[in-house]
Amino acid sequence: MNTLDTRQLKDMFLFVAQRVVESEDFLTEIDLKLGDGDHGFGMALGFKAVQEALKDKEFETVENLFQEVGMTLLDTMGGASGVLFGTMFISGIVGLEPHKEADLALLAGIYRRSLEALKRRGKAQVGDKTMVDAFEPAVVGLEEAAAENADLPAGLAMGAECAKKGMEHTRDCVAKFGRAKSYGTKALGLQDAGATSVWIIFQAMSDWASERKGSE
Amino acid sequence: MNKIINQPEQMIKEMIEGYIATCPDLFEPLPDYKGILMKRKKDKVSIVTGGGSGNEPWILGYVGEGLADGAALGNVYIAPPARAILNVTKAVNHEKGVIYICTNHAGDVLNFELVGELAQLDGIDTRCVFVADDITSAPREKQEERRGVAGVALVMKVAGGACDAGLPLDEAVRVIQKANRNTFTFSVTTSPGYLPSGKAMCELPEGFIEYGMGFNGEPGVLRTGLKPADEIADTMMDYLLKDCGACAGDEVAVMVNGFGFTSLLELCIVNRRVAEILKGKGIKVHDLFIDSLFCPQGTGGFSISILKVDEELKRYYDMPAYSPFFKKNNRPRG
Repeated sequence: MNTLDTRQLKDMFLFVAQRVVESEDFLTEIDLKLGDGDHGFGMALGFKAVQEALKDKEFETVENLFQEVGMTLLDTMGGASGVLFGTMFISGIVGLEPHKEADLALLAGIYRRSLEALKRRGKAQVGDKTMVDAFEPAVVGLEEAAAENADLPAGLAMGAECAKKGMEHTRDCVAKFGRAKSYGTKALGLQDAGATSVWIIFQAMSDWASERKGSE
Repeated sequence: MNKIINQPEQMIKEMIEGYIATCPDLFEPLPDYKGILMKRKKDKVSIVTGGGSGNEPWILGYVGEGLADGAALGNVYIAPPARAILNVTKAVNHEKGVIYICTNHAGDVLNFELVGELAQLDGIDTRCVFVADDITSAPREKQEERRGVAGVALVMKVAGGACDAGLPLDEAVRVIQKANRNTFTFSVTTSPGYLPSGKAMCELPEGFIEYGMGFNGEPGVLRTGLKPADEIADTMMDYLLKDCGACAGDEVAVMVNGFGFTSLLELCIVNRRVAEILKGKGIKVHDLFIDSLFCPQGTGGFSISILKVDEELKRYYDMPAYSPFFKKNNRPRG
C-alpha cells in the first residue's frame, strides 16, 4: 500500500477522528495540570463534527478532504485551538494542484507546509512546549521515510514514533505560551496537551495503515 | 463601575444593531455573525478589518466612506472567529482583491492569515497588514513585532484613500505598509477602564499615572506621580520623537487620542503643548487633531500617534473619510 485514494483517506481520517474522540478524558487530564482543562473537550467536539462532516460525503480530491477536515475543526472548536488545528489541515493544501491520490511524499509535503505556517504565525519553535514539539518531528519522520522510499504504513509509523518522542520531550520544556507559561519550571515533568493531540492524530494514522496492511 | 448592558452574551450584537440604526442607508449587518458591511459595494480593492471589541469606535466605526468596506467583530478583547472574517471577505467586492488591516495581536494574526488562505482556496486574492505602532512593546529594530493600538486610525485613513484612488492590490499594500512603518504611538494611563463585567482593567492608585500601559492593563514602561499636562506631553513627545526619528524639516500628521474618560478640556491643553513642541523642533505639521478613535472602555488617559508623511502618503491621507464615529478631512480648508 503506497497510495491512498480519497475514499481510503477519508476512512483514515474517520479512524483518526474516532481515536481523538475516545481520548477526551486522557487529554482533559493532561490539560488540567497546566491549562484550562478544556482541550480534551474542544478536540472531541471538533473531531465529532469531523465524523459527521465526512461520513456521508465523497471527495473529488485529497485537497478537498483536507479542507473539509480543517474547516470543520476551525468552525466547531473556535478560539486559538480551532485556528491552530484548522491550520494543521488547511495551510498545507493552499496553492496545490488537486490530487486524486495521496502518497507518503504528498502527505509529508502537505504537513510540512502546515507546520511552517503554524510556526510562522504562532511564533513557536521546537522546545516552546506546544503542538509544534510533536508536529515538527512527525513531519521530519514522514520526510525521511519518503526519501527512503518506505511504504506508506512504514512511513506513517515513523511519523507517529517521532511525534511520540517529541511529545514526551515536552515534559523537559518550560512553556513559552498560554496559561502553562505562568507555571514556569513547575511545568517540568508535565507534557503539553496540544503536542499530545498531535501525537494521537499521527499514531491513529499509523495504526489505521498498519491494520489495513495486515488485512490486505 | 456601573455598566449599561442587557445580557452580556448579546452585547456586541446589540451594539452593532444600535450603531447601524444611526445610518441604515450606509450600513448592513453581516448575516449570522458579528460584523458590519458597507451597503454600497465599490469597484475597487476592498478593505476588511476586524478584531476584538472593547476599544470602540475602533473596528465598528472604521467601516465607512474612505475607510474599510467591512469588519468582523469578536467579543470584548477576543479575536473574531475565522468564519466571520471569511464571510465578510465574500460579502465585500472582492474581484480586485481584499486587504486585511488589523492590529498586531497574536489571535488576530493567526485568524487573518488563515482566512487569507481560505479565501485563496475560493479564488479571492488577499493581503494582510498588521498595524504595529506601539513603541513600548518592542524596540525599533523589531518594529514589526510591536502591538497595534490607536495608530491604526492613521493607517486606515491612508488605506481608505489609497483604495478609493483605485490603486491595484499590491500597490495599495505597499502604500499601506509604508504608512504602517511610519506610524508611532505612545500612551499614558491616568485611571483604569472597566470591562463590561464592571471589573477594573488595571490597578492604578489615585495620584499616579503610567506610560506605555497596554490597553488590557499590561504593565507599562514608567509609573510616576501625577504631573502637570505640559510635563506629561513633554515626556510623551520625547519618547515618540526619539523612536520615530522625526527632526527639523520632516513632516507629520499627529493624533491626540483620548481614551474615553479624559475630557476634551484636558486633551486640548495637551494638544497645545504638542503643537509647541513640534514648532520648537522645526517639524512641519501636516495635520494635528484631537479625537477619540481608540478607547479602551472608559480608561483615563490618552495616546499620541505620529505618522511621518511624504508627498505620497499625504495624497491618500488627505482624501475624505466618513463614518458616524470617524469623520476626517471633509471640512472646507481655510
